[in-house]
Parts: sequence; C-alpha cells; structure tokens
Amino acid sequence: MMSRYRSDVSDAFASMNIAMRRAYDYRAFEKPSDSPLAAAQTFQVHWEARLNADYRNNISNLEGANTTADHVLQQIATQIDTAKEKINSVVTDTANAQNREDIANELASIRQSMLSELNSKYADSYLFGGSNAGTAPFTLDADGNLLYRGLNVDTGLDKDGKVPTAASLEDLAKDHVYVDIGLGIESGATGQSAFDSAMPGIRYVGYGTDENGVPKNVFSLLKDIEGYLKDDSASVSELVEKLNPYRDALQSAEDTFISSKTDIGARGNFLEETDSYLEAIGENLSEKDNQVEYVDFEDAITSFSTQQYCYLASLQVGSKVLQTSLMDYLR
Amino acid sequence: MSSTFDGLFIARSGVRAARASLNITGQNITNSTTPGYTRQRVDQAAVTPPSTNSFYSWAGGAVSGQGADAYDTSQLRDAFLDGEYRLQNALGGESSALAAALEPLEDIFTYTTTADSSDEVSTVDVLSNELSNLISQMQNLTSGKSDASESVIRDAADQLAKKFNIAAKGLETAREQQYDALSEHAVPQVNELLSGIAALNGQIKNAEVSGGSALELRDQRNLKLDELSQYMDIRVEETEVDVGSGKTVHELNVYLADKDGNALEDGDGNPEFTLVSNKKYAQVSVFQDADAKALTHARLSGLTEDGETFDTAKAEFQNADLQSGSLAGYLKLLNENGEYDISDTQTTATFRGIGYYSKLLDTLAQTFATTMNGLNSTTDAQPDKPLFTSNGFSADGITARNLQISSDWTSVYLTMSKDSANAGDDTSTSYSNITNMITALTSDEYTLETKPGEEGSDPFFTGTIQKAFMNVPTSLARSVAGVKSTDADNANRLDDIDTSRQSISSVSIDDEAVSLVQYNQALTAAARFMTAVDECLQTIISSMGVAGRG
Repeated sequence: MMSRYRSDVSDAFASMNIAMRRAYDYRAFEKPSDSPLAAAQTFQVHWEARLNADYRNNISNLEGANTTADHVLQQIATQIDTAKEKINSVVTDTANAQNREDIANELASIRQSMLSELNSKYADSYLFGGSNAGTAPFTLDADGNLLYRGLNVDTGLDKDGKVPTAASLEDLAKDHVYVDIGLGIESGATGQSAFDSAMPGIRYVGYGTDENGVPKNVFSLLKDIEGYLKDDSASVSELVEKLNPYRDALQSAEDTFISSKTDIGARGNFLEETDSYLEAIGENLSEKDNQVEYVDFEDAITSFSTQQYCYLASLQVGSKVLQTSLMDYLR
Repeated sequence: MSSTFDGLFIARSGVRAARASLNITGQNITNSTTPGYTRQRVDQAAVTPPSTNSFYSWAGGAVSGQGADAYDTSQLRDAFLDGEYRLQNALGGESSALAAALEPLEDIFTYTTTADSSDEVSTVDVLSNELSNLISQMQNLTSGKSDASESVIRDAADQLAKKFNIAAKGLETAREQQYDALSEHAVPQVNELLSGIAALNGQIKNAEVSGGSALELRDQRNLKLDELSQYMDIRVEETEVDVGSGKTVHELNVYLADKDGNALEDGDGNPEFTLVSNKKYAQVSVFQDADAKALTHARLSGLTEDGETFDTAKAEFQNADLQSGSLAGYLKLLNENGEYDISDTQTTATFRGIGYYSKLLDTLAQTFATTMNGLNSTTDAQPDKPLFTSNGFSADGITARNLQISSDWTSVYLTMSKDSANAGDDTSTSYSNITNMITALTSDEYTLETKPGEEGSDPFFTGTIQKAFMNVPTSLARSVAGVKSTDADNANRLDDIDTSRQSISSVSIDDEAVSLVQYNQALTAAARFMTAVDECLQTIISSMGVAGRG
C-alpha cells in the first residue's frame, strides 16, 4: 500500500505542476506531442498569419508606388492641358512669328519635363517601365524621337529599324507585373487571382499612328506641332490647316490619357479595400491562435486550484493511512 | 506406553517450533522495507507417534504424537502473478524506450520562442518558419520594396538549407545516441543479469543440497528476473532434480518467449533460445552493418559456464525473435522506417523509427529543391541553373544533410521571368517567375513518394509544399503522443499487477504483529507445559515409592 500511495501522491504532484505552469504561461501544450491536433492547427495558423502579413506588406509597397504615379500623371495631365491652350492661342489669335517661336519653345520645355516625369522613380524602380523597371523606359534617339524600351513609339520599330522579335509596342502596353496580395494566386496567374502592378508608360501617353500618319503619342504630337510652329515659311491659314488634325489627335490623346490614368485611382481604392479586408483576417487569425495555442485565463486558474486541492487532500489522507498499525497498540 | 521423558521432548519441540516462528516473524518485520523481499513462514507439522505401522508398534492405549516439527520455511509468492508481471514489464520496457527516444526528436523540429510582437511564448515549426522567411523576401521583391534584392532572397534560401542540414544532423545524433544506449548500457546490463541469475542458480542449488531453502537468494534472483523481463520476454521454468538419497533440488531455466509468455520453439517443439540453464548462461551482443544501410542486429551466444562453451551460438537468432521489451524497442527505433520499408515482400508500413524521419526529411528536401530548380531553369531538359544542390554544383543525390545553395548563385542568377517579353532575363522586373515560385510553394500540390520512379514506391503524402513541411513535426507529434499514451497505459497495468503481487508477498506489519503475539503465547504455553512435566517427573522420581519409609 505504501508504494501505491507513493506513486499516487507523485502523480497528483506532477498534475499540479503542469496546471501551475499553465496558469502562468497559458500555453495549451508544451510540446506538440501533448496535443498533436492543437499543434497542427497552431502551425497552420502561424503560416497563414505570415502570408497575411506578407500580403499587407506588399500592399503597402504597392500603395506607395501607386500614389506617386497618380501625382506624376496628374502633373502630366496639367501640362498637356497647358500645351493645348497654347496651341489653341496660336490658331485662334492672329499670332505673329515671334509668338509662334515662343510657343514652340514652351512646347519644347513642356516636352522635356514630361520626359523626365515619365522616367520618375519610386524606391529604385522606374514607375512607368512596366515589366522592365530597372532602366529608364523613355529615351530619345539621335533625331529626338521618343523611344519606349528601345522601340520608336510611332513606328514600333527597334533602333535598327526592324520589327521587334520579342514584344511589340502593343504587347508592352498590355504589360503585366503580377503581385500576390492574397486573392488566391495560382499557376498561370491572371488579373483575377493576383494584382497587376504594371503601369507601362505608353498605355497612358499613346503609341502608333492613325491612318493619316498622325502620331497618337502625346510627346510625338507636341514635337511635330513644334516643328510646324518653327517653320516660318507657312502662313497662318496654312499653319492652321496643318495643325487641325494634330489638334484633334492631341485632344483624343488627352482623352485617352485621362481615361487610362483613372485606372490608377481605381487600383489605389482596390488596394485600400483589400488591406482593410486583410486586416480583419489578420485579427481573426490572431484570435484563432489564442484559441488553439493558449488556454483561457479562467480555465487555467480553476484547473490549478483543483489540482492543488487534490494534492493537498492526498497528503492529508496519507497522514491518516500510513501512521498507525497494530504495533502502536501492543505493549 | 510412552517413555518417561517423552513429555520433555514434546515440550522442547514446542519451544523450538515457537522460537523458529518468532525468528521468522522477526525476519519478516526487519525486512518489511527490503525491495523484493517475500514474506516467509514456517512450515510446521505435528510429529506422528513412533512406528505406528510396524511390528513393534505400541498396542492400544492413548498414544500421543511426538510434538511439533518446524521442518521448513517457505515463501508466500504467486508464480502466476510473477509471470504476468514479467510479460507486462516487457511491454512497458518497449514503450518507455520508444517514448524516451522519440520525445527529444520533437526539439529538432520545433522550439518555443517569444514573438517579437508580444510576450506570449509560442511554438514554432523550424522549417516552416524558414520557408515563410524565404517567401516573404520573394514577395518583397515582387512588390517593389526598396531594400528587397536577390541577395536577400539568396540569404533566406541559404538559411533554409542550413536548417535542413541541422535537422538531419540532429536525427543522426539521436540515432547514434540510441545505438550507444543499446550497446553500451542495455546489452551489458542484460548480460550482467544473465550471468548473475546463473550464479544465483548455482548458489541456490548448493544451499538446497545442504538442506536449506535459500529463500533470500530466491528473492534476489526474482529481482533480477523482474529486471531482465524489462529488456525481453522471458519464460521461467523451475524443475525438480533428484540428487540422490531421496533429496530433490530445483533448477531454473530461462527461455526467450513470445508476447504471450510462451517459449519460442523450434521445429521439434523444444524451446529454441535458452538464456539461462541453471549455471550456464547465454550472452547478447549487437553490431551494426558495415554497409550503407547500417542496420543493427542482435545476436545470442551459446551457453557458457565459467568461460567454457557448452553450446554453439544461435545463428538462427533474428531481431524479430525479440518481440517486446526495451531491446526490441531500440531495434525498432534503429531499423524500422515506416512507409519507407514498403516493398514487394513487405506490404505494410513498419514502425516509424528514426530512419523514417530521416528519409522523410530527405524526400522533402529533394522535392523542394527539384521544384525550385525546375522553376529557375531556362531550359526544359536538364535544369541549367540549379538553385539548390548537393555539393554546390550538381543537384544529383540531394539529401537533407547535404542540401546547399549553388556556389554559382552570386547575384543575377535567379530567373526573374520566363514570359516572352523577358524570357530568361535575369534583370527583368516583371518578376513573373518569382511569383511562379511563390505560387508553387504556397498553392500547387505535390505528391511525396518513398522511392520516386522506382518499383514499390509508396505515395504517402499529397498536398502543398507548405503542408509537406508541416507534416514532419505533426506526424512526429502524433507518433509520440501515441507511444506516450501506450506507455502510460502499460505503466498503470504494471502497477495494478504489482499491487496484487505485493498484497500476497509483501510484509504487513499488522499481520506480523498478530503472529508475534501468537507465537509468543505458544512459546509461553510450551514453557509452562515443560514446567508442568518437570513437576510431574519430580513427583515421580522423588516422591513416588517412599510410602512407609521414615
């Protein structure tokens, strides 16, 4: 009976120790083998919480770039508007050559600042480079023509005058950079399951020419208009006639620019909404972690009190059971 | 008609018997806390009247017996319960060896830590955590974080490979420790017990030949047999042997048994593996294969006595003959590999020993490396830019122990995109291939097999790479929980049997106190009887026949 009692008391003591430890660190298990199911759930929750943090981190990086791009494009829109007004003033007013020269110079400086804005950077990447943001997307060739990623924006040909073997301007305008923000990304990511963060510059400023050879690109349009303005030989009516298709093209390029830049604002909203959604998920995961990995404060204290009581009771019983025997009663 | 002084002899025998019983009671009381002590009692019988069955027997009259004879001492012990205890002890020995070995393995795969964001202590799965780090760095690169770069991803990949190495090394160390525990501690202990039991057998037999009953020696022997039963299943058989002049002594044989306690038999129905045969004993040895498999084998020698061999070594002895006990537990840990043992001859999974977890880590490392290398490759045939290798250059023969990043991975080595606009361009910022890698690690499903591409391969896991990583500590946790629960059950059952055993054979102070009183009174009564007889004799000798004299 002694050895049985001894092992029972040490069992009660061990249980009390476990309950005591639980009462101050609230952990449901010390080692995974104490509760394999809770451990598996804990690891899964930790993994999902990490991914959630990654998604929110991605969103915050993307939001920064998005906001900056929005500002830059807004500035460019203002500049296009200014350019449009100046060109209109040439056409509507009876301007003299001096005025034309001034306006041509102003258009040139607008073009220059537009070029540097289109090559803006955010966090070491070119904002409008699309899928190749390591080098400046917009460059000028020897003749001052605008090149987007090495391709002439009007003709679409590369620097050797050949049709590009890799991507054409049209492909580049539809460039994608898919980022995982928790929309359920799968192999062969599409815009459904990932966020497209690409903002290829020529999507906004236009490319190619129309059926009359008038460029669709804002920069090229301004350059051509500038060329006409600097031509002293043309009379006002000849100038107006030449400029009309370009003014129309400039208007439609401005419309294209404004409508395509609204998608940046829409993206910003989408990122913000997704972030709020992910924040709620993050809180749920944290709650779930509390449930599987930790025990309730009240349960832990109650359980410890119970175990302590059992242990003390077994000690008391022992003192009654172990002491007396017949020997105590014999003379 | 009895002799004149018969009464004295009767009284003397009574005193002697009472004295012997008192001594045995005293022996019981003083040994009440001695481990393994079995309470003893005196075997007492009444002596019959002399020659009741012969020609010269007394005729008629009131004939009395010749007193009490304390002819022997015996133990109160139940051999059946002893057998039950030893069987259960073997089961308990096996489960406690398994639990003690598997539980520390959990520390290889998980650890508890305080999170950066809170004071709460949390359990972390080591490999999954490193994988999460790698994925986080890849995510940073795709979303354009300012300090994200390929070298940060490379460092994270390096860390992951190192964690694989550390885990694999931990398992190797655990295996060495278990082999040492088996060969340096368990087996020498078993051998010492076997030789000790044989020595005690000799002493007991000698004591019995001289007329004693060697009860204390038997207690020591029972202790040793109990301890031996923890290591292997044994069957104990005691036989009586005639040593002439009507005397019999006992000899003890110990055989290797199966889980039900029946001795393992050879083709003729005789016990096949004798561990102890009275003074002769066998010895156990273990050794490891020299080849790459490093299986551990146990061997049983033939019977020896004082260095002299009587029986040849048991060449037909196999590991499987040890059906339970801690030796069997160690062999399972070292030799059995769970699902990896499935083949044409073995259709079910064996026990998931240490080898299972080593091979599981290897399979995981290979699957992970193959996936990442395939994604980074710019050719469809042989992957040309492996990220993970076995030796810094080649991806052949990757194991968890040798996994390392390629030494060619400096900077500009990760294939950033494979889409047509940027195919193979390591500087492209479309990062479509990085996104592919992230997808492969988080959402694509893979099947892990024991022997990919070979016959008899068992596909034991299908799921994402992340789930495969998580599978390692959770399957270990389930195994350990199962073994610990079995061990607790075994310990309880053993306790119950031992309690029953103790209730018969351990000393109860109350019982002995009653015996003290009883034998004390018997002695007092016998002494009083002697006094009475003495007075009678005094009367007869001194006072009879003096009538009429002076």
